[in-house]
Amino acid sequence: MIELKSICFSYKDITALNNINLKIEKGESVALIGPNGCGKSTLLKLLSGIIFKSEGQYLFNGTLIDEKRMQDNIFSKTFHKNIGFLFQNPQLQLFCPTVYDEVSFGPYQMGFSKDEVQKRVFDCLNLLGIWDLRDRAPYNLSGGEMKKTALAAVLSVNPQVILLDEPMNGLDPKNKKFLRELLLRLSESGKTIICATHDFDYVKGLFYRAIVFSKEHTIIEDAPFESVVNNKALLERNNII
Amino acid sequence: MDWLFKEDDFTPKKDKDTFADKTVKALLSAASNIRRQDFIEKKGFLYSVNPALKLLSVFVLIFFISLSKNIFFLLSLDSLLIICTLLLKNSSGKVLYFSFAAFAFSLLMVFPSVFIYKSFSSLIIPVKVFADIVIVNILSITTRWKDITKSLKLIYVPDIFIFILDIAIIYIYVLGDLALNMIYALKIRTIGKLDKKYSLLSNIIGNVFIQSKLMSDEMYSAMELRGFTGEYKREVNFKLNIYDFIFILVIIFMISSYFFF
Amino acid sequence: MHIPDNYLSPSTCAVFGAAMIPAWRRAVKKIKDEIPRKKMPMLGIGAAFSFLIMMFNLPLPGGTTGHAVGAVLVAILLGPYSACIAVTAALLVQALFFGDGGILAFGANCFNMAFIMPFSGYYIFSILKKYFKNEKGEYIASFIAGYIGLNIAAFFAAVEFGIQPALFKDAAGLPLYCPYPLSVSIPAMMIPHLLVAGVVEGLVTSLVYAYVKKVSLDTVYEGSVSYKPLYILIATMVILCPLGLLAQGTAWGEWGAEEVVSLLGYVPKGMEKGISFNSLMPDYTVSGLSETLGYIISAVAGIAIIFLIFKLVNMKSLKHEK
Repeated sequence: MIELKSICFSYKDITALNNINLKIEKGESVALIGPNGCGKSTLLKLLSGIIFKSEGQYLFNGTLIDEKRMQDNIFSKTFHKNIGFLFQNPQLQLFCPTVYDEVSFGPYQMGFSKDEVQKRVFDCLNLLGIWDLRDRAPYNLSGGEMKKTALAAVLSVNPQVILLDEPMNGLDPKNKKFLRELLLRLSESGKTIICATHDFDYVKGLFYRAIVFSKEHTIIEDAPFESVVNNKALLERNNII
Repeated sequence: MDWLFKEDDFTPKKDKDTFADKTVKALLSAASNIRRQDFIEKKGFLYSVNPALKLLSVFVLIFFISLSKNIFFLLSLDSLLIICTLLLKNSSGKVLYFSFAAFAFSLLMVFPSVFIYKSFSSLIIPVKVFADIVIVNILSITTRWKDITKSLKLIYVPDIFIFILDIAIIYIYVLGDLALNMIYALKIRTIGKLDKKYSLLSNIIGNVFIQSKLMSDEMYSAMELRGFTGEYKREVNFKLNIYDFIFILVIIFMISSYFFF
Repeated sequence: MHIPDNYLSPSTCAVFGAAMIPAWRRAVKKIKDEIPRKKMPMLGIGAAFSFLIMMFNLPLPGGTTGHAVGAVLVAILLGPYSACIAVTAALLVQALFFGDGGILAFGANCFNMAFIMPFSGYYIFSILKKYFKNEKGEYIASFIAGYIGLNIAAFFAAVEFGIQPALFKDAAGLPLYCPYPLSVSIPAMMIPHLLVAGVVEGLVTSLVYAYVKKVSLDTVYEGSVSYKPLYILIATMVILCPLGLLAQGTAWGEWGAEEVVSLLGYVPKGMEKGISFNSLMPDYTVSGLSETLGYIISAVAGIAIIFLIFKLVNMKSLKHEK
């Protein structure tokens, strides 16, 4: 489904991704692990089509994704529909006056009838337990509530691939547990989940595969999640724990 | 709820949304101009000249360019400036691109006047505009901006305004990043035809404003906690080294050529 | 709207720079009175905000894009005095570091976008607000304020451009700076602003205002504003006109620009000196210098008189309060 071939990315002269080769199949759930500034967030941005590689190839369902391809209006919209992205800072992701507007933003564009949109929004808000917040302004919410709103907005368009950047950050233990359950359910239903994280305790059993980045911005390990998490030497060597 | 666990059958509608890409471009270019400050090394002639001296020279040169009516003086100045630009360590391509774009735009603007006055005299304006844009760009690329704002003291800009400028530059970066991410979010969440583009963009601008207000309150508290009393003093260094004297000679040469031509 | 250098004569630039000094001083004083110290970071951040508004590309019919200036919006959100300082800082960053807008023309750009636009927009908004009581009316008021504010600023820019060819000509009668007379510059500037840019400005002003008000009412500026700065402008023009005559001593109309005078009435006569000043330029003589000097002195004297008037007005209003 997702294939990266020797991807490099740099901001001006600063390298953020160096020779990344990666293949992720449909339905997989993958954790991206690495020290701060190793390029995890950059990789997620690249996968979501916000930024484009400096070198290499990014294939999504066999189609090359680059700036030129994304100029095609219909293609880029289908692509964005299929890949949802939860930002590390959900505040940056919310731009509507109320939580309800935020979550209905996607479904409305999909051309659903008013009832269908309402159903989707109701489902999403209930799923995340934030129905009561529907009339609040997103910027006024607490960090956890904002994260849930952003996630509801992402889920409401029903993407096939969900990218999450440190989703556990800023959540209390109960919400962390809740999010884990939810992601598990989504994963079981066939969604592809790619998640940057360093919160190993709360994601146990969620991922089958872990990809470890070094601070040289390259992948140094691609193995089953459990074996990576238990490999203390590797994690310590790379300043992850 | 079952819809979430199934795949949608969905084909988006076509829409015109270049505005998001253009905004991204504008925000990124402003941010990269600011970020570039951190990587200015004090190596190379123009990089080593005293910032206050550079700033004053920019004012003087632009003043004389504005007064000049001599196309030969201006053209030789332009060529000299192009050479200076090519000697820059980086971004020379970008500077020339912007300057030629300004030149072309200005030419387009004054060209119809040729028919009004039956004379090409106004075409001198683009030549001047080109020189000005190159000069400002060279200043902005070879000097840290905080050194430039500090040098404004020499022309009696009050400290408090310099303080405002310094904060403005930092927050163009910080708030610009915020705006950029919101535009990104809008972009990747735009999967169909947007009906209320103006409302959405205005929401983002409004969010940037609300955030800026919150940030400024926090910033003031932080400043107060660290002992800020409302005084902001910055000192201008006007010690000159050998580069500065060479630079002064060059500027004097340019200005005196204005009188000779 | 950002006037680049070389379209206005240096003396025009000096006049507008000088005209801005009392406006800036008053703005700073007012801000200090309103919320001492606490506003300082807000002004810097407000400057960043007004810089960024201009980065937002808005879709226009036909697939192209345009951007708003935002000065009226900032004036409504932060108050006109803060807007004056914030927009000034934003314009300075643009002129000095991004090459957007001239350095000599900085005063003129500030006059249009950091003074005329926020103040006229704010006054229109606050006057209309009294007539439209409900919320919707407020949004309409902010739209009108943005629309008119931008167009007034554009009109001033057009006039600044348009007076150049009449005032500054070389020996052959060819223009030295902007070559287009008022008859060209006004329609060239005003038609696109009246039809398109003003609507964009109005929409952004009212939609952002509505959004901010909806989600966070307490952040909107709630100060009262005296109408005095409105008079600064009028006073500047009235005073500069006879002073120019004093410094000059020649008759009106010598330079064949009756239409300018009749149109504007206030064109500072001292500006005429710019002509001889520039025609003398090849052999830059002391006489050229002294004439500029005379002109600058007249401008400074004009400002001094404005200050005096303000002092008197202030004393009078103080007595009233007592």
